[in-house]
Amino acid sequence: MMRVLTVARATLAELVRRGVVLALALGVGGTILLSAWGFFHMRTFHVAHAQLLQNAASLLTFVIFRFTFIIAMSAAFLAASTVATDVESGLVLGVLSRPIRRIEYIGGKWLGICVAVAVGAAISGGLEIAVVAWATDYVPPHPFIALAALATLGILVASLAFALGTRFGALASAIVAVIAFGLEWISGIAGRLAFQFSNDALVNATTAISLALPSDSYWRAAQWAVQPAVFTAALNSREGIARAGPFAGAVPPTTAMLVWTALWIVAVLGVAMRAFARRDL
Amino acid sequence: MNWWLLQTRSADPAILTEGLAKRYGSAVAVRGLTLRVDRGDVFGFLGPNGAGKTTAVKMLLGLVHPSGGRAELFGKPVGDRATRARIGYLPELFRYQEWASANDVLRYHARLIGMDGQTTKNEIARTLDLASLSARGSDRVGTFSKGMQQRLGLAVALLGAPELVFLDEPTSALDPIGRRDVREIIRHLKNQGTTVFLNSHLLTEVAEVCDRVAIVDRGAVVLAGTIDEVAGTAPAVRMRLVGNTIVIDAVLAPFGAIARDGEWITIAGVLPERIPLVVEALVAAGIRIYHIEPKVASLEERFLASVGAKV
Repeated sequence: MMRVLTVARATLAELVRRGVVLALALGVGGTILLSAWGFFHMRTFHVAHAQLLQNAASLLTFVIFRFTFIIAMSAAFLAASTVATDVESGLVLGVLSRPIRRIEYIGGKWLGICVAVAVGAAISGGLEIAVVAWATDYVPPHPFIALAALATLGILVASLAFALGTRFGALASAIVAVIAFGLEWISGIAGRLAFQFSNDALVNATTAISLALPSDSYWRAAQWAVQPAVFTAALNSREGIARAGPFAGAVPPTTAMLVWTALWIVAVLGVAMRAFARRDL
Repeated sequence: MNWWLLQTRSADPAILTEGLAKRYGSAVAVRGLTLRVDRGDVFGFLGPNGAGKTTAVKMLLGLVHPSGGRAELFGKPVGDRATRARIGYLPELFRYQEWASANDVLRYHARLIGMDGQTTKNEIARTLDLASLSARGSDRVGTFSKGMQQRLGLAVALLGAPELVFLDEPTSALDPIGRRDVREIIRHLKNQGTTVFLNSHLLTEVAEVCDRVAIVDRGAVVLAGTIDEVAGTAPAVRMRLVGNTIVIDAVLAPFGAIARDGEWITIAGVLPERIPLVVEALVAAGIRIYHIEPKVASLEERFLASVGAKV
């Protein structure tokens, strides 16, 4: 376990020292500052307080929706490169000649990346929610669930990209992971439309696709957690979903989905470990 | 089994392989490598580019999975974790993270070995000193030249005073001073009883520091033994003479076959102890001798002959 933590710590240190953390902090920080300015100026609109809260909730839901893309993209490119670049630079040769198992090395790398992605997602989402609360008094009904959902989304995409990166090049792995996230996202939208129009066959098909990469549940969970409770209540019917459109979150992930997500991550990590253990370096 | 494997010394040699092989599809990188390196030896693994040297080293380190055969380090199967704590490795091609300092790189490897804090500190100072990098420990690798990165790689390989060190082309990026330093380090390791497996295509380097060598070509060992055994002693005498060529030929004919190259004459088959007799005969016949020397095949000649290249 000590060697896993050693590799994880080195992975985190690399992200900090390479300026990745600084770049993300500046990018996300700038976004949050701009949105803070925008949210604050919503106060100047001559609307009732209830209307202000509704506008803020709508806008926050949209911002969180955009955050899910930023988190997914960042996670894919960070995770895909962590092992692939060590292999390409030859660094892995010296490391794996030490008394460390390949599964420990992979476990440490994955842990480091996932900690970075999860903490980054939670901090950026938390700052955004805090900024909105400060500027407009709108506090989402489930802020911590929103942050957990963002972090889980990042871990899911990172795990897929990471697993691909143990076998293929960094760029190819990141692109495949982003495409998978995009397909999963489109599938989720199609599933909502299918539900709205009572097309059970398409609903079943999109449900099956969502199991291949369960990220759809988590960006919807983040949406669900920040949107007003009254809006969520209206989504509990086919008509409500039709009114809200296919992009709205309706329910948090079920227990079954949470269990499946955990199993999915373990399985993907297991495949990555097995593939890397068999690889000639 | 290859003839040279029949030599046996200690019970558990540092390296022992039997029929070790690696195929990539239809391409054979290493074919039936049978090898023994005793503890404390400085062993040179020679071969042209693409001969399978690096693949063989990687199999010994568990980085490449063999297609056949077996290999042991210190009597344990390759990959044994406890054994790997006793090994150092300098890869042929590597590039440390530019953002890291030399101390960072060494500290990371020290943690992987399982060193405590004080030992880590001492070992970092010792290995940086050995690699002549003491003054650059805090500097970022990004500011290092290629040669300095190679020295850092050497420091990493020597961390924890390993009992067996694999050096894969350790001087490939070094200037003459760096090459001399590496030779000194190898001699230092030998004096400490460390086994060194030196993978190289630089024959002079190998001839200077190695006790034993194996020449590998197209994935198989073609010649192995001590430097003298491999270089061979195919005796000859080479000389520069002035005098009547008919007389010279008549005088030298009893000693062996004569080959001429301008004023230079080489007689094959003359052992060093017979050279005085040659001199006596030439002087007695009134031939002037300007130069005479015993001639043995160099390691380079044997290497080129072994791998099928024209000498």
